[in-house]
Amino acid sequence: MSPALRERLVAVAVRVAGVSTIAFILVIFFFLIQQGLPALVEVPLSDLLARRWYPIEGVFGLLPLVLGSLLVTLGATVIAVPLGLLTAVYIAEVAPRPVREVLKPFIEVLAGLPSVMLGFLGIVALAPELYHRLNLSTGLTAFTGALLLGWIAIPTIVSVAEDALDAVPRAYRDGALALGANHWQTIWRVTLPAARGGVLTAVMLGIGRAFGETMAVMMVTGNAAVMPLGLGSLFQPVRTMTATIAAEMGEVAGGSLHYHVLFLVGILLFLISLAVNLVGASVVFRARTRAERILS
Amino acid sequence: MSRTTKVHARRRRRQWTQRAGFALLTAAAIATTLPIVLIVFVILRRGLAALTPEFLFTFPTDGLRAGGIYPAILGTIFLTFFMTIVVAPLGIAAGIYLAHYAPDNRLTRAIRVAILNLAGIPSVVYGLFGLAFFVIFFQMGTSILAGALTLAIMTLPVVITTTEEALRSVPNSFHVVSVSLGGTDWQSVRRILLPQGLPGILTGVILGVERAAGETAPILFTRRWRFLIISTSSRPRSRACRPKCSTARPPSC
Repeated sequence: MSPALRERLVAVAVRVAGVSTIAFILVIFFFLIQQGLPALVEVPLSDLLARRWYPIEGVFGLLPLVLGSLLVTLGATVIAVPLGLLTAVYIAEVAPRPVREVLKPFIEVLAGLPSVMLGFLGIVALAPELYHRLNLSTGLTAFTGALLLGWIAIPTIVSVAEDALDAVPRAYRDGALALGANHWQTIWRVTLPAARGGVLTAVMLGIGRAFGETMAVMMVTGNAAVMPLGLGSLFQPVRTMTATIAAEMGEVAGGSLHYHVLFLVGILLFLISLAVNLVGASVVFRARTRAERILS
Repeated sequence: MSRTTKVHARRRRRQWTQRAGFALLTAAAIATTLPIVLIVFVILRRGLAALTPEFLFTFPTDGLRAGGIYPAILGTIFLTFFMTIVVAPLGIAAGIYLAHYAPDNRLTRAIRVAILNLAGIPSVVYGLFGLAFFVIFFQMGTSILAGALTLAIMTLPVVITTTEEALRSVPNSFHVVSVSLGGTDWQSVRRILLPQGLPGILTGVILGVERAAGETAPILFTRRWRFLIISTSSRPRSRACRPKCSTARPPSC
């Protein structure tokens, strides 16, 4: 094979590999639609928007599932975002060197823990504890799920945000300190704003991880498909979209209406994560271009 | 009050804010890590006793209620092995493309958005896709192959992004020198960039494989699900969580 031909072949091969990512997104979407569309045709929209999910009787109201997912994700976000960001700032800016060298790899290992394992711990340790401490009727509640998901999302947020803070050029910090700002002011007014894009990515990834989490949530939220309305429902069982798919797909008859509706739930999950990612990407992109404009 | 005392007061206040702020940050770091240390401790204390060679290398008996987890371990090994074979070349090639070949145009931006989205899709949705695409459309049935391919697609974004970053972190001068000595694109990549970026690339592949091996939801519908909870916890790294399965299993199977 002549060198020129080899060059061309390699260029084409790597290009195909790159473009394959777009193809995968499209194929995933297509096949979800293909399996989920019959549900949209057969179940009237008003039924899908009903407040009850009871597939055995053919009642497919998706509202409790969607709200369940939102409630648990919101709870996890409230816990994980402040704690995660503060921890990231601590590790990147404040921690003494030895502490930092221990904490950083530790957090990164945690980001890779399988969620089934955390879910199991949620059942055997966290849920009974909450049940006794808060005097609930059951330990498997939205709050338990949010708490667990919070700690699942934290390592992701910390490690990505910490990288972003670390990437801020040393000169920015030196400049701020030279102008008389103290360490604290430098962190809040210089370093964090400079790392805004990466910090935002960290938050999005953390929320995404919480939203898409399946096994842990299925194990600790109790899985009752009721409408979570009001603050009180935080301490009652809920059922998320992801848990519904995981729990019911294994049992459902292939090609039945229930089966197609589960794919519809999958489409919903896909679209929500797509929307969140696109918005996040555009915000990060805009922040970056603005920063570049100011700095150049 | 004179000017200097005012300045002093302000400085004191600033210092106080800083001290309080740092205390807050430290508290946050402790609050995030302490529960996790606790978790590891609990697992080790409760689980280590059950970790015996018999448990690892015998077949489950008594309707999965007793015996060992040998088939699950083998299943996980095969699954991750085939997945790696698929994802490593594809992901590394795509990473090379993005780091070295891709022009800054609309297509490249679309690829980046696609990678971001692949990374964001919930893992159950990959499970549904694997069921619709590999199991049903390609008629692979519920098999290791279907599971491995599904996991490979899920892992792809991790491998691509870490490969790209590893290649980009190689100083540009290396590449410039290679080209100035008459090296072609591919020669520079293969002889200079890849060897330099190899540690980073390996990190990416291992990270991706590790994540996939611990993942449960995507293989729920593409593999036989009775082995699932056991198989995911037989990950070599988190050996401590294996024994839990012996207690967790009965209700779910």
